[in-house]
Amino acid sequence: MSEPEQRSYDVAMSVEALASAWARTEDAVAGSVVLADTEVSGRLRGGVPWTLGGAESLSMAIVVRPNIAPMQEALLWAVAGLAVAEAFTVATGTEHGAIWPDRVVVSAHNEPSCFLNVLVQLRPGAIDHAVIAVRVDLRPLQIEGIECNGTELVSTIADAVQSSIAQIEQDPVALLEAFNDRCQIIDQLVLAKLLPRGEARGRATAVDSDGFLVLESSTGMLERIAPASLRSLDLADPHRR
Amino acid sequence: MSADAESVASRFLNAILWGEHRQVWEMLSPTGREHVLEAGARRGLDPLQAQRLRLGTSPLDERDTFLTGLVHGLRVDFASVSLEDIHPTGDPVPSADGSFEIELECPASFGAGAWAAGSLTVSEVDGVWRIDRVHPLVSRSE
Repeated sequence: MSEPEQRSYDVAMSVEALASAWARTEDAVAGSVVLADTEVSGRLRGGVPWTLGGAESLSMAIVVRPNIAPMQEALLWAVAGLAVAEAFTVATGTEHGAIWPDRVVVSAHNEPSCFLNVLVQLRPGAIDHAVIAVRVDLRPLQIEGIECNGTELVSTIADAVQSSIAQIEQDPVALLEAFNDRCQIIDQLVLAKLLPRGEARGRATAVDSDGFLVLESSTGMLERIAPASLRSLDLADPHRR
Repeated sequence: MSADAESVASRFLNAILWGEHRQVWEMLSPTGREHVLEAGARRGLDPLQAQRLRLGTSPLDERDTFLTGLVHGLRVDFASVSLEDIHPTGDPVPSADGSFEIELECPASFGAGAWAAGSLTVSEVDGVWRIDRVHPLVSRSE
């Protein structure tokens, strides 16, 4: 089996598009990484434009080929969140956490410096491949004076993602426990705005075995939120209850 | 008395917003619950289950599932506006049957002022204001 490769581009439409095309047409092995200095049309989850480029940012996408059921595809957001939060902790020396489904932060009250995106390509009865995109605003990391070597960060993230993929295949319960421990919104009151419309509020209790966020109201009503139906997620103001 | 009715209306909307499904059920009057169960029956609710809900003898799972559906349905009824922004307005209007109509409004999406968002019918049951009917305004042409 061949080793994962890395491809770097000065300019790309988006790292997900290149990584997905590589996986689809050239059978890129799991762990292969695409890097771009500048993205013409970088998009975060939900199509939000990503405009940073050059030395201010890091845009990368990792090809993964998880051996999990297609119905569990939403778990890949937890895989990505856990892996990147752990990689940031190692690379910066500062404890990082995740905000389900797509952000990595120092704490739930900090502005996120890292955004995730997950694209899944299915084939009959299985996941053919997925692309985990990681976009990092390096400016806050530099402002805080943290030594952050870009090349090292890329390999740390890629290794952590591969390691989390292996864990989700072997012991998904342990991975979810680890993710829920790192998830900064667990036990917090949150407001989930949904697609195409509507919202749900409640205390975030966990990300469940399908990768859905579970909200619990004060009377015990449970609502499961899928990443695909989430428009935005914010901490709710408990005083407005 | 009318201030109480308005605060009950606000609490009811808040309970829908925060998914407090048992609170929503408790705040419905017997008439209101009957309307909910009739609406459920039109959508295939089992008559025996409806009777258990009416009498309060449902197993917890059954009741919670039904009430979760009720809260989701009420949210859908108000989906054209932000539920958080809806508030009672004006004085409750008395009806001949002793109930009161409370108008709801929300901030206008464009221009100044507020838009009508529907109304709630409330009545006093054993000295407590309860919700009889929810009338969401689903179209601006109504």
